[in-house]
Amino acid sequence: MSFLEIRDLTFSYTEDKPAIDNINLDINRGEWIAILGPNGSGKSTLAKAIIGLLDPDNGTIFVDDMELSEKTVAKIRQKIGIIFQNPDNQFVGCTVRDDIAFGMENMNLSREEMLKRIDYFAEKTGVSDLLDNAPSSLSGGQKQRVAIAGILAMKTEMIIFDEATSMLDPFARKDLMDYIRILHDEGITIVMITHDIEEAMWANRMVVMNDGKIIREGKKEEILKDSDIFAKAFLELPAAMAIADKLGDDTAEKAVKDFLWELNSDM
Amino acid sequence: MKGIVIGQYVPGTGFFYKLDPRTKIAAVVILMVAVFLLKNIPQLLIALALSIVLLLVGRISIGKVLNGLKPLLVLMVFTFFFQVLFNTEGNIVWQTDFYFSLSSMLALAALTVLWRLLVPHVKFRFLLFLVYLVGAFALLHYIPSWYRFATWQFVIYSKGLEMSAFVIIRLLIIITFSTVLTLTTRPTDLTQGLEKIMRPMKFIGINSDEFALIISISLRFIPTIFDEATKIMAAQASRGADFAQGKLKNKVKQIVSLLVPMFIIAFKRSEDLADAMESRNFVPGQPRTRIYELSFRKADAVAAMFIVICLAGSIVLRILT
Amino acid sequence: MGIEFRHVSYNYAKMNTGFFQALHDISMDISDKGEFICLVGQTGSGKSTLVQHMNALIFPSEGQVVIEGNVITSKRNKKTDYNSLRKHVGLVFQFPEYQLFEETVEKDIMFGPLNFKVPAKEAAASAKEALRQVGLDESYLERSPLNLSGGEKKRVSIAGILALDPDVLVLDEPTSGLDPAGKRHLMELFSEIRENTGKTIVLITHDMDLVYQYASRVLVLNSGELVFDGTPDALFRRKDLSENHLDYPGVVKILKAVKEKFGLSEMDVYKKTPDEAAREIKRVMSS
Repeated sequence: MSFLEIRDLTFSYTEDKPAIDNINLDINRGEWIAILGPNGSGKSTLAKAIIGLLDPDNGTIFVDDMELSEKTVAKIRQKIGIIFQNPDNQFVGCTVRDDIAFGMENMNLSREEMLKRIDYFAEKTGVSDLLDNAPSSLSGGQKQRVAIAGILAMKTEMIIFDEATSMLDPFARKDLMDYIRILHDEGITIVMITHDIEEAMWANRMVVMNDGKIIREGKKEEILKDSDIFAKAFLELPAAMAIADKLGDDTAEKAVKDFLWELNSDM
Repeated sequence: MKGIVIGQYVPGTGFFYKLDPRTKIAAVVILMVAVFLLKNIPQLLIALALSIVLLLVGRISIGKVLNGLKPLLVLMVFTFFFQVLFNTEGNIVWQTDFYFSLSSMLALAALTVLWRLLVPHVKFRFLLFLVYLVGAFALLHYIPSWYRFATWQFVIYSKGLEMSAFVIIRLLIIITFSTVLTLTTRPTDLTQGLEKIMRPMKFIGINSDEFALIISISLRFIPTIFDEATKIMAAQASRGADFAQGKLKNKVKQIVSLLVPMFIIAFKRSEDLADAMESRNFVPGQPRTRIYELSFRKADAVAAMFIVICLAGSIVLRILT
Repeated sequence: MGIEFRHVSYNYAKMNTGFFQALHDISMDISDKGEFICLVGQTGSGKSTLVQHMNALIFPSEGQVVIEGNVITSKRNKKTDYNSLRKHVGLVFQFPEYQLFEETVEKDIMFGPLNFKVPAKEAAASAKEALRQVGLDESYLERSPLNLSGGEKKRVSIAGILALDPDVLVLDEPTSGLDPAGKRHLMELFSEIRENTGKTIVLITHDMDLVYQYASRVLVLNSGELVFDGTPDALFRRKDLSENHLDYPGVVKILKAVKEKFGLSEMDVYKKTPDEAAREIKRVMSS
């Protein structure tokens, strides 16, 4: 059984149109999924529904064999964490230490256990030196790291990144992406919601959404070859693919084409 | 506004830094009551002297406390005049006449203009203000009158002086105490202290845990909001909203152009925060453990004794006098 | 007339460490005759501080800034109407959608001109024109600016500055938060404005691809110093890009990788679009 199973999920904010419409999706442990689509395609709504922030009109969500319901939501929120777009608007504590502790305090962990986990995960996310700092002295990238530390401290197994890099400058963005790769290597399942195709390239599987529906889903290579999908979802091919697309298939050019296909987005 | 400092807290060492925030909060409240029980000026002056001694013992910088007084200087002058003008009990301490005439009004206008012109060039504006006041009164008394239309008999009674001294000295003591509180207590600790002290209020239906959390989150966002306000002001200034000048009608629109965006940001922020907090399993009203624990130490016992002695002392003094 | 910077430095007081020098000895000229300038540099290098000198929101601590013939120094000059300078140099901040506050789009765009005492009728006409310039039709005029999509809000707020008809348009990361289509649309818009009206555009950006495709001139800031003032082509041929915390445009990086991998010594890596790059690869491969 997959770690996360979504069946026939539908949710509407307003009467006329559903924000997410009949979503069916499976996510396996250890995967790195990118959910792509233009603004308004329902990506964030899907993320919120997965952790029970929204009450769906229809459909079910299973996390680790548990059906999402009022009884199981607390457990599920421990297994799945979410990092939002605005680094400030998810930072609750007066200091870094306070913020990392927040989730654990809600779970009523003992003081000793919390302090232990704070030190451990602050070290892992590289914010040990900042534990007594106030958020106003931190950069956007640092705040996102603190948010990750807070989630890891709850012994999370999957992290959803909802456009978590869009408010960061390119260097902070790359920094965060590098760290997310480390997280993935250590076994955390990654779901990356983005409209940046270069970021989506880090994933092994892509899900393309538009208008509340999943219009295409599959391995990265398949999706990229489907130029129709890109137009439908208002996405642009990454530069390397765009160049490769224009090359012919005679041996010389094909070699370059294949090389371009292998180029990772972390150049 | 970056860094660890939020509000007035300045990291340091000294007796007051060792105290539990609950002790400090209780001290401010109880000592204020003790001060209000005192009935005459000599007693108040002793209390003031004691507070200054406390500051020295606790190694608190007097400069920082004086800074806390600055905003209230004008209030104190106002209080002085208010008491002096309207209190007519006791003996006459001083009496003089002020003459309102064409000549004295013109002279007063000229002095006011001179004062405003000097303001940008002078460092101690409050001192200049006092000089202005003295000069104004001198003018009203000494300028030979052409076309006098009113005379005002200005009388200062002893009770008036007494009352104003009373109010002012109390103000000084209270500000001293509260400045020491905010100077030596981290905002997180302050809110936790308040939260613990307010526990009993659960019986009236006020959840002190939630209240403290709300306060703590609000404090955390003060520097952020300050930065955002600065940015919005700059953006609107770039569209010609000159916040420094302008007629009243325009000023209203300018303030609206600042407030509406701030409110919109605040609403979005509260939505986002609610989502973030809920996703980390926050449930309002449910019990939560804490990483910080407040505990009383020797220093708190010493402070408690001192507070009790002060309170007892002032009750005794009140009964005796 | 434009904007001149003469040995401008800017310091501000910092909490515990005395003061911080945000800008150091900056000298340069910006004409109002149709330049497309990109201002780049790491976060914290002083870009925002620099552009706020351009419309007299900030005064230099040392040196002079000359805007439309008005000399601005650290001392406030009673005779200078600093506010009116903001009509000539329009500054759009990052996330400008936060400045929207009026009941209707029309009223919000008119806010600027009305502040500069433009008569209401004229201001309304400017608002209509500005809206058209950003690619939105008249039906938007009566709508509430707060009910629009993110991209629409951005465009309305840019219209709010365009309505002032400034000679120089300064924008701080106008494309941040937009998806690729939105970015492209906005950049084309600025390009058009420059072509049609001859205004100078100054753009702060981190996107080297945009810099290469649109800029006629690049200014590079590093720790408050102006370390480069020239064309994008000259910039990307330098060897010290990473010291200045800059990167190459995506297409150039890809071509460099291809050149190295396949040993194509005669490849010209300085191409601006995937089309040009593909053509260059074909050219080199066929010989």
